[in-house]
Amino acid sequence: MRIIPRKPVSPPNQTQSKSGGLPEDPMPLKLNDKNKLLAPYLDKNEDINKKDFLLGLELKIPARSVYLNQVVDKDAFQRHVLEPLMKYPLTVQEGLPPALINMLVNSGPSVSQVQTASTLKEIIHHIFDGLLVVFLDGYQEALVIDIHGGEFRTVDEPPGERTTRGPREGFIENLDINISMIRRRLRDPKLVVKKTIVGRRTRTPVAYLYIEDIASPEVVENLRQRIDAIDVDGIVAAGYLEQYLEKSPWSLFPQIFSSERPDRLVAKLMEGRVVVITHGTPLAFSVPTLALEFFQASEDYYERTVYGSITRFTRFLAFFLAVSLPSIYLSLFSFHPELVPFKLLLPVAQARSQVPFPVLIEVLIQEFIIQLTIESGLRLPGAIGQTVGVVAGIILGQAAIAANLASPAVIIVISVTTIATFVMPSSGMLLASRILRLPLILASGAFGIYGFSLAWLFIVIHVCSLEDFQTPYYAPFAPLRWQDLKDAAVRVPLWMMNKRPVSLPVSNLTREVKSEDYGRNDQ
Amino acid sequence: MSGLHHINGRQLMFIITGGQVGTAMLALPAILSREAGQHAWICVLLGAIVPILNVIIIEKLGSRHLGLNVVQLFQALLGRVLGYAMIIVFIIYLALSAIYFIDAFARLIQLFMLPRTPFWITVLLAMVCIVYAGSKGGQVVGRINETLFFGLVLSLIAIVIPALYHHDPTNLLPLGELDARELLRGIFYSIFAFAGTEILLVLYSQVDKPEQVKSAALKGVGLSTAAYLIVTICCLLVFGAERMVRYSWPGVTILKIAQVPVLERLEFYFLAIWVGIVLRRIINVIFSAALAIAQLFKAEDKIASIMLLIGAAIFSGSFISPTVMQYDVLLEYFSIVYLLIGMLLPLLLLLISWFRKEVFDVGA
Repeated sequence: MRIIPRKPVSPPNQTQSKSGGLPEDPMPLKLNDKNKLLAPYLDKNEDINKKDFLLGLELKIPARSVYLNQVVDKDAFQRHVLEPLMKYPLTVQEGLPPALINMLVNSGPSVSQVQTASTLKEIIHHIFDGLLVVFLDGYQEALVIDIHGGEFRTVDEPPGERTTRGPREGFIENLDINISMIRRRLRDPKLVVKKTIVGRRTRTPVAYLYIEDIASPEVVENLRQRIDAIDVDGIVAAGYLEQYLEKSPWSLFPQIFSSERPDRLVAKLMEGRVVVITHGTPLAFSVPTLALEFFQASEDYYERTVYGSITRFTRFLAFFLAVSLPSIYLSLFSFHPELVPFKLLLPVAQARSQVPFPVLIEVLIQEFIIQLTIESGLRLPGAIGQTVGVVAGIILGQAAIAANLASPAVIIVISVTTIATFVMPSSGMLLASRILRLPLILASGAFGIYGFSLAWLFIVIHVCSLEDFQTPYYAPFAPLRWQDLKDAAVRVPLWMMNKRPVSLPVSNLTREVKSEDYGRNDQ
Repeated sequence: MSGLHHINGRQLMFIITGGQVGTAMLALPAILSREAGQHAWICVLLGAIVPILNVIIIEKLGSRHLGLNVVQLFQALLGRVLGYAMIIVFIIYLALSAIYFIDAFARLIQLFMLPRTPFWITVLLAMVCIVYAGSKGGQVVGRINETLFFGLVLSLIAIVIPALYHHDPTNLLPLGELDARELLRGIFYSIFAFAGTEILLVLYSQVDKPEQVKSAALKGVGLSTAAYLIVTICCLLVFGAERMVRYSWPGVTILKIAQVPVLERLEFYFLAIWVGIVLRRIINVIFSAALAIAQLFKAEDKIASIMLLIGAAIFSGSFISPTVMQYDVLLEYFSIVYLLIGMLLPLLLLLISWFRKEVFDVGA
C-alpha cells in the first residue's frame, strides 16, 4: 500500500448529482448556527473530523474545518490550508472585508482546487464526497477545498488479463488514477472526459470518455441519457452500472465489454467507442460492444500477425469446443454410434460398459463436479484453490474411473471442455460458455444431432437479434461487413487496418490518412 | 418502411438463396437422374431460368410501384376486393409451401436421425425455432440467412470431398444423347427445387436500396443454382445416373462412401449443418407469409404474435402429411401451384401494371 494523492471527484458544476432529499436551505451567517444546522448530519459520524481555529493574523475570525477522516490528505491540510488561513493578513483596522471569501479563494489556501458553497445540500454533499469544507463566522459561503488523499492499492499487473509482451499496468479502484492511465497513453486533446455521479446514497463517481472527432455523438448522448436515468440508492461496482445499461438483461451473452487494462481501453477509444469508468472498481467498460470483442485479446495485436491470427482462431475453436464438445460426445454415443469411427467406438464402448449410468447422466454428473471445482477454485485463496483443482481433477477423476462411476472418455471430454472454456480472454464470454453448454447437453441428450443443431440455431438466432447503441452484436459476421473481417477470426497486419470498423457507428472511419507499404517494396 | 424488417441488398441475396435451397438438395440428383439420366445437371442449369425470369418480373413490378408493400401492390393493381382475395391466396400458398417443406424436413429427420421420436415432436421443435427466428423481425431474419449461408458452403464442401476420392468422369457421358421430353420433365422437377423466389414479392418493399434488388436477387438465384449444380454433379460423378436412381436421398448417401481421416464419415457434420440450412428456407417462407399478414392488417410491429399464430397453424397443418413415398406425386402438384402462383401471378400483375401504364413512387 502506498499513499496516492487524489484529484477531485468533480467540481459540483460538472456533476449531475441526485439530491437524496437534502434541503436546499442557505447557510446561516453565525458559525454556531451553522454548527447547529449541520449537527444532525455530522455529529452521529465518528469518522468526521471537525477542527475549530482562528483565521487571520491580527483579526481573528472563528472558523471550523470539516472533513472525512482518511479521505483528506492531512499533511496538505496542515501545510497548505490551515497554516495559510491562520496566517492570512487580516488587520483589525480594516475589519471584516465583505469580499473575504473571494479573497480566500484566490489567495488563501495554497492548493489549486478551491471553490465555494452556500447551501446545506451542497455542503453536505461536498463533505461526504471527501472534500474539506471551511466555515467562517459571519459569512454565509463556505470554502470547499480539494485535498483528497488516503490509501489506495498500487497500480499492478491485472490478474485476469496477463500478457507477455504488453504493458503490465492494470486499473485500480481510484477513478482519477484510472483516467490518468488512459490520458498518459492517449494524449489527444480531443479525448473528452465527462464525469457524473450515480447513486443517491453511494454517490459513486462515474466518468465516460470518448474521442470527440471519432465517437458517434448519438452513442455518446444515448449513453449519457441512460446513465442519467439511473436513479437508485447505489452503484457499488462497475458491474451494477453494466447491468443498468445493457439492453437484454436475460441474455446469456455479455453485452458490454470490460477490461482491467488501460491499453485495451485506449484501443477501444481509438476505434470510436465510449469508455466508462466507475470509481471503486479496477476495470472499465466500453460501448458499443460486438460479440467479436470477447474473442480478442491485447496479445493478438502485440504479437506478430500470424501468431496473433492463429491464437485468435484457436479461441473461436475453443469456444465451440467449450460449448459443444460434451453434446457432440453425447449425440454420437447415445444416438449415432454408427457415425463414430470403429477403432474409436470399440474402446469407448468397452470402457462405458462398466458404467451404470446412461451417457447423459454420466456427462451431467461430471459437468456438475467440474462446475463445483471451478467455483471453489475461484473463491479459495490461490494455493488452496490449486490444491482443490488437483484433487478434483486427478484424484477424483481417477477414483471415479476406478469405481466405474465414469468412463475415461467422459473425463477426457469434460477436461478438454473445461480447458477450452478458460481459453477465453474475457470473463463475460467464459461465463456464457460455461452456462450455454448445459442446454446443449440436454438438447443433445434428448434429440441427438437434431437437438444439437436446433440448440445452436437458437444461439445463432439469439445472437443475431442482439443490438444496442445502433450496433448489431454479431457484426461483422451478421450483418456481414467484409471490411471488418480483417480483424475477426484472424487478423491482418496492423498497417492494413487503415479504416475503423464499419460495424460501429463512428464519425470518422479513417484510421490511417495514407495507406503506406512502409518500405516493404523497397529494393 | 418499418425499421424492424428492413434488410440490405446482401441480406436479400442470402435470403433468396436460403429460400431456394432446402431438402431438395438431398433428393434432387436422384429425381433428375430418373428423368434425364446423366444430363441431370443440365436440367438444373435450365431449370434456373425460371426463377431468374421470376426475379426479373418481380423486380420490374416492384420498381414500377416503389414504396408499396405487397398488400398495397395487389390492391393497387387488382382492385380492393380482388387484391384482398389474391393476397390471401398468396399467403395460403406460402403457408402450404411451408407445410410441405417442414413435413419433408421432419420426415427426413425421422429417417436419418430420430426414428423413434414422435413426428409431432420433431415438427414442434422445428416450429419453435422458426417462430423464434421470425418473431425477431426481418432484420434478424436477414442476419440469420447471412450466417447460415456459410453452413451451406460447409455442407457443399462435405459433399465435394467424397467426389474428389471416388469420382468417375465417364458418369457424365455421353453428353449428346439428349431426349427433349426427358429433359423437359427434368426441368419441370428442378423448377420446384428453385421455388422460393416468389417471397421477393413480400420482401421487395423491405430492401433499403431498391436499386440493389435485381442484382442481389439474381446473385441469390446464382448461388442456389451453383449449390444444386455442385450436389447433382458430385452425385453423378460418384454414383452415375443408373445407380443413383436406386437412392432416395443421394445427397446423404454420398457421404457414406467417403472415409475421411480421423472423422471417418462426414454424415454427422453434414446433418448437423443441414438442419440449419433447411430451417432457413422454412423461416424465410413463413416469415414472408407472416409479414404479408402483418401488412394486410397494418400490424408490422406485431410480427411476433403473427408468427406464433401462423406457426401454430402450420404445425397443425403438418399432421395432414403424406408418407415419404407420396412426395414425388406431391412434388408434381406443387410444381404446378408454384408455376401458377409463384410465377404467373407476378407476371399477371406486371402485365396489368404495363396495361394501365401506371408508375407509382410513394417515396418520390
